[in-house]
Amino acid sequence: MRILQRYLHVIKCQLPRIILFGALSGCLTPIDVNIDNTSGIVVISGQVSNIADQTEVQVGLTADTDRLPFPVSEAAVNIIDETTGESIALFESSSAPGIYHPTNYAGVPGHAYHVEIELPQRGSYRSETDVMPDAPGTIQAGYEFKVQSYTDFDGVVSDQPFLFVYVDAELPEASGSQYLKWNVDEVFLLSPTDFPDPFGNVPPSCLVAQRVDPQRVTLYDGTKVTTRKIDKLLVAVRIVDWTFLEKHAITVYQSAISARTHTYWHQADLLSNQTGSIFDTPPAELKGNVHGNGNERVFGLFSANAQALNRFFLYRSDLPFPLLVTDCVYAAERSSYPDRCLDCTSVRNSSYNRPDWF
Amino acid sequence: MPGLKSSTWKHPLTLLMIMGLTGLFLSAPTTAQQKVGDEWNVPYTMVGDSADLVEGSMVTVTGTIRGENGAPISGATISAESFKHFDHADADGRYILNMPTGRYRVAVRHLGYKHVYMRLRVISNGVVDITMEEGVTSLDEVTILSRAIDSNVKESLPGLNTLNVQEIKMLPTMMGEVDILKSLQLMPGVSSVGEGSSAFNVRGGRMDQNLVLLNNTPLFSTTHALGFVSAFNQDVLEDFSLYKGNVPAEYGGRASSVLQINTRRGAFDKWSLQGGIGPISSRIAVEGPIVPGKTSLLAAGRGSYANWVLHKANDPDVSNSDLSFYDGYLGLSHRFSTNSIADVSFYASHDDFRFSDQFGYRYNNYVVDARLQALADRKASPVFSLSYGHFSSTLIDPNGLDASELTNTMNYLVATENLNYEPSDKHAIVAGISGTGYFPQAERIRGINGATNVSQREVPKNNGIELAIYAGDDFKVTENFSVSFGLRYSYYAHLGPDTVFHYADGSPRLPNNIADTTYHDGGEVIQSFNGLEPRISARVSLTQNQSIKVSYNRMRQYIHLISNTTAPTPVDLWQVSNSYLPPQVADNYSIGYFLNLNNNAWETSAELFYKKMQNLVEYKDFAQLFLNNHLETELLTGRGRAYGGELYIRRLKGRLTGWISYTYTQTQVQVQGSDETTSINSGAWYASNYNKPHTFNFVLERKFKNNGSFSLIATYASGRPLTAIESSYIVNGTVIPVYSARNAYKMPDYFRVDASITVGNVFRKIEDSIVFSIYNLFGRENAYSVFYQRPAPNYFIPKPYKLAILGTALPSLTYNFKF
Repeated sequence: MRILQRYLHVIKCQLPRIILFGALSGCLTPIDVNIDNTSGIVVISGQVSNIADQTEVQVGLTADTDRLPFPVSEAAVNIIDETTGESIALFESSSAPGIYHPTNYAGVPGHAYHVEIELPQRGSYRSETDVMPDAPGTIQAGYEFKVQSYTDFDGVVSDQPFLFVYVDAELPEASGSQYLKWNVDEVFLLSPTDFPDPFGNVPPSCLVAQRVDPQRVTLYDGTKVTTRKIDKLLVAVRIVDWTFLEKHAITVYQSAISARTHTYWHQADLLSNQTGSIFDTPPAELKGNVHGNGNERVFGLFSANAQALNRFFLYRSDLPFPLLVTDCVYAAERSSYPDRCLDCTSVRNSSYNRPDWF
Repeated sequence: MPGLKSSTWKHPLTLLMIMGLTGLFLSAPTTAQQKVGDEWNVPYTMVGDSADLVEGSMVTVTGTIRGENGAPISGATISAESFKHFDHADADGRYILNMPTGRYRVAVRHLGYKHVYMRLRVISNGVVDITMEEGVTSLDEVTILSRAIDSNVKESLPGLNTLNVQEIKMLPTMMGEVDILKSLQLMPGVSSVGEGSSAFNVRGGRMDQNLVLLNNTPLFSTTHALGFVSAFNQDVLEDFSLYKGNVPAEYGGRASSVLQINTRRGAFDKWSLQGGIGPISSRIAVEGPIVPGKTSLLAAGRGSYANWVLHKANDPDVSNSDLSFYDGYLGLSHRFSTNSIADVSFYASHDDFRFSDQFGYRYNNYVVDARLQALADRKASPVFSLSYGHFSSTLIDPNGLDASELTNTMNYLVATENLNYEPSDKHAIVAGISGTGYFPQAERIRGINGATNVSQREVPKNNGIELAIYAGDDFKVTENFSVSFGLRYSYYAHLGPDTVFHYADGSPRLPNNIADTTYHDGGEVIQSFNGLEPRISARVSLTQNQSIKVSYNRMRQYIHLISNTTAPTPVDLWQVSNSYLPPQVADNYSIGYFLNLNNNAWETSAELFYKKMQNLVEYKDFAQLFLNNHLETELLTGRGRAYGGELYIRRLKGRLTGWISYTYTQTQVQVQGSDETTSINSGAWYASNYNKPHTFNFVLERKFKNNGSFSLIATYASGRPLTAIESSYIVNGTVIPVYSARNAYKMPDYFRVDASITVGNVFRKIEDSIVFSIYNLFGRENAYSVFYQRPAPNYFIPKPYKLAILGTALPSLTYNFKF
């Protein structure tokens, strides 16, 4: 009888999975693959945008398998407007090594751009030309809160509240604007604990600015569909946590991109969404558009994007459910506080710089 | 002494079919061979009068087959030497064999009677009457005798593997489905493309380099359910042979191997019913005489009820999914006379699959085949066959802005005329011509589920025609030396209508570099290829039980599987050669030492092989293969090489049988273009997707009384190549993985043990059995694939994961019956 029960258990629990080939609902186990060291390869990425503060170039060197690239400082970075011949110098951010910005420069739709970089002791690098599309189209962002299951790093599954960000968009009829990509940024306020102070000093609040759901690559290919209107397209999903205790701004950027840039992101999306099934696109090295000296391998993409944005603000009172997280409010009987409450600059991507619009 | 029958044709239709189609096609009689076991350890019986002996001349042996009570046994089969000469007894039990003078091993079989084995020394026309005893043997057991027990040593062709249905029925199964393709993967030189898959590679060759013939018709899909279940119903199969070394001249069109699968004919004497009930599907077959002794029918069907299982799953994605498949077979055979028989068969299979609301596919396969087999005179045996095939596949995206169905369809027509001619017992000559036309329909996409955003589009596909003429001889020079040689000339034409794009000289083949376009009308030859395909093998017997065999053959392949995956998918494209896709050409060399021991109770072999391949199709990174009207911009061609060795030890006799096989293979590809975009891995040799250097198989079968048995399989294989992440970087906030050179690393090794127990005669009044199998007995989590993903949403660096389909032992219970 026990054998029969075990048989029936396997039939119910394993056979469906096998029939659906595990590739779709299978058993995953982390493994080790002994990888050769490939650190030290130059990575150059960035964009020139028609929105002034969105033009930026990042320069780095690859690390080993388990680490992100090291930033490279003291690079000479120039964006070249090939249409006018203008050279726009970029300067390294004082707060973020390896990230370079121009001084109040906005790109011009229809113009062709490339980036030139000189790296100390490495040589010069140059991207291929990218033409900024004519117009980014219109965008209207919206959101919903939902509860869904969540699996954390340790594999623990629980129900958690999430923010879903959508866009309604319309592609312009202008030629050359066939491809769209969306990015979602957030800025939220983080006020440290205001401990009793005989001088009455109130510690300044930090602002944390970062990308939301950065691994989600949402693209639109206007050459494959007949409509130029998009309704309620999901562009980001974010867990609702302590970051929603105070004012929280969500900005959705809609970028009209070139065909070359669309191809790059489409391939990046394929690499990011491998499932192990027979339908997976075989992975390969993603070829960017930046070249170095001779046959030197260089990674990254520099693109010229025409962008439009739409922004909304969220407050704790907007949440349809109670936020069961530890806040930073001082209480006399309280003996411990999270690190972020003691020093808000300890949070990644935080600063005291408040955008004008916040 | 009864008179002898004439061997001239009596049916005008037979004559019309053969003579009226002069210049067309006749094919070889079945290649199945008889086994010589202990049963044949009987003295020779002289047939005829030695005064009439003329060596090599054709004579007729006739007689009557009766039961012990003297009643004629209609439909009994009598066959001599590998079914080269065979007949069925008519309503009066009469049979006629036309054969050259010589020595023969003859078997007489019929359901419900014990087999009769004889050795005949035929010197002139004569009569042999046969009496059969009643017994409990089944038709299945006929197939276990489908190869000569000493063929390992005596057969001219190296690299020939044969199994029969009875043998594979004893092997453990996955989900209760007997699978000839998975069984073949246990033979030396044959490897699986992945866990649970029926797709296979032969001696380092690719999946699409295996020609799979159902009777005489190529099949473009041989599996159900993404490759997990074979598309062949065990109840209709007679036998099958895999030619992986030297391939006879009558076969062509693929570069690596030929798998010939033969269906059986329905019984000519009485009706019977058989079938099986398994965990995800059941099958049934009925056969019998429409006109006793003249016309027989075999109809079989198999259907799945996997949905019932799926919908009980706990995972909502699984319970909201659908999977169904079925296949059917209908075979009609008609004997015009004792010298001619016609067969018409229809095979159909269908698959329908949907994974939750995410994606689905559907594919259909139809094959109609007509054959006319006759003895044109006393020395020649022509076979004419004509077949039509249809394969269509649809990929379904059910949701979103681009909800759509993408359909590809291949139609093909095959005609062959084959002539076997045996002027003496030293020569077995084969000659013939064949033609295959490929007429795919345009690739189509259309919006579904109200999604009107998808533009309905069509991408035309190429037509092609492949013609071949061939001849060969199996020449037995002396008892200890034989040579089999053949020559095949193949011609291929890419036919219009088609639009050919011309790319600017010196520029990469990219859509942006199209310099000119040429339109060709229907039927116009746009591009042609042709070439000779020599086939030669030789056997030198060192002693009665050991021999050395060598072979060389060249094969050309004019149709290619366009699949940028490691395992076949139901929606893979088949693309004929064109201006940018030259035929694959393979030169196969092999040498082997063959030794039988203990009166053929054991057979062993050691073979070395080397394969050189040209014009292999490879893919640019991230190739877009669907709806691409300049597919050539995504394809690259390169060269390949495969080499290795095989060891094989098999015990054939006794209650304990089985084999051990070990294969070492290295298979590599080189794509060296003019620049980085047209090269792979900078033009260096790299491991092909299916390179698995070490493969080891152990198969054990223990038979019990009452048709019971126990079987055990152990299989080990090196891990497949892997393209791994070496580093990562960030662009615009998104982490981009840096993948290694193609196939630079290796997946974990594979190991699996299966076991099964068969209990026969469950119910006394019917012939039946229960098979209990456990697939993956030790519950080992073998890697189906290795891929990278982020461990959690807030973790940026992707990590390697092993995906195991089976993390547990999988039992299955199947009930088989036959009335």
